[in-house]
Amino acid sequence: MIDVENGPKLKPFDYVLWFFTIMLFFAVFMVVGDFGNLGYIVSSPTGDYVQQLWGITYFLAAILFGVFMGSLVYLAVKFRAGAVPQAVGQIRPAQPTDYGKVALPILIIVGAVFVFVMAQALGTLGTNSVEFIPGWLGGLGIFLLGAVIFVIYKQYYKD
Amino acid sequence: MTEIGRYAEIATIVFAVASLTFLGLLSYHYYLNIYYGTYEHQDPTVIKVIGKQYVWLFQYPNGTTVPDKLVLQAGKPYEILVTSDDVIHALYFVNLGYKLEAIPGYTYHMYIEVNQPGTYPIYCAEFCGPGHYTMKGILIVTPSNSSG
Repeated sequence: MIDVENGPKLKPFDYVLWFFTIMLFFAVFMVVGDFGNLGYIVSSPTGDYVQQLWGITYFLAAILFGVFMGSLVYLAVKFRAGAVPQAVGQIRPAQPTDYGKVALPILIIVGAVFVFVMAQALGTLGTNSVEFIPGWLGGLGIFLLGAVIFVIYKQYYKD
Repeated sequence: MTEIGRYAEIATIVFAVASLTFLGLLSYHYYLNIYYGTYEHQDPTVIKVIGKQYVWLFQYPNGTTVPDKLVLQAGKPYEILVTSDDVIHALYFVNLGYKLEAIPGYTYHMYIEVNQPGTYPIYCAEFCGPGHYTMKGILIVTPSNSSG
């Protein structure tokens, strides 16, 4: 069991990094969704309502995504096995792996390319691809996120 | 639970309740605008839409029926009455964000006003049979000063 009261404390710089991670996830979410802009919606009173409601919903979702995913990733890395002395007895400390150092940068680069492609696709939606392309890219995005989580997980828990 | 953990929990709940309440009230306000405010008192032109396998029939006030082609004037309000002759369909204007079920025996209505002239696709958004994918039409929005 980790002793919360006497365990490692976050320093002011850690809070800055935590906040930066949250903002990074928030920004990525906003860019992927073209800042909540439905480019294919034509100007009409009802269409404007749809656009406005979607924009607000997307912004709120970006805040939630940033706070929860940013915190999850930052705290998982900050308090990973090996970084917390009290946990050494229970969990095997982090060991460098052969594939992790290669796979993670590749996945990060692929992720950056993916975000760019997604932003381009959402910015220039054709009428026939409205539902297909975002669905296709969304599926790839989930697969990519799963791969990142898998690699990070395998870095800390080799078995 | 630590003091900061308790505050974080309360903040999460307050944020969720406030966000959803705001969105709900705004949506309801827009809903009232659409169905009781913006269009109803502007004397919209009524167009009847009948869905049947695998065609959309648009009936204009002068009695003309046109398959798979709806022509509207930009900036002018219309009321669309949607029904079906056979199975369930769904009239879907992708670019307008409008979708309405077409169900045999029932007539549903919605108001349409488009500000931007152009040609937009119309789809059936409810699987209605083997030819469902062919059930497409076009919406032509003409500039407000033309005779369309």
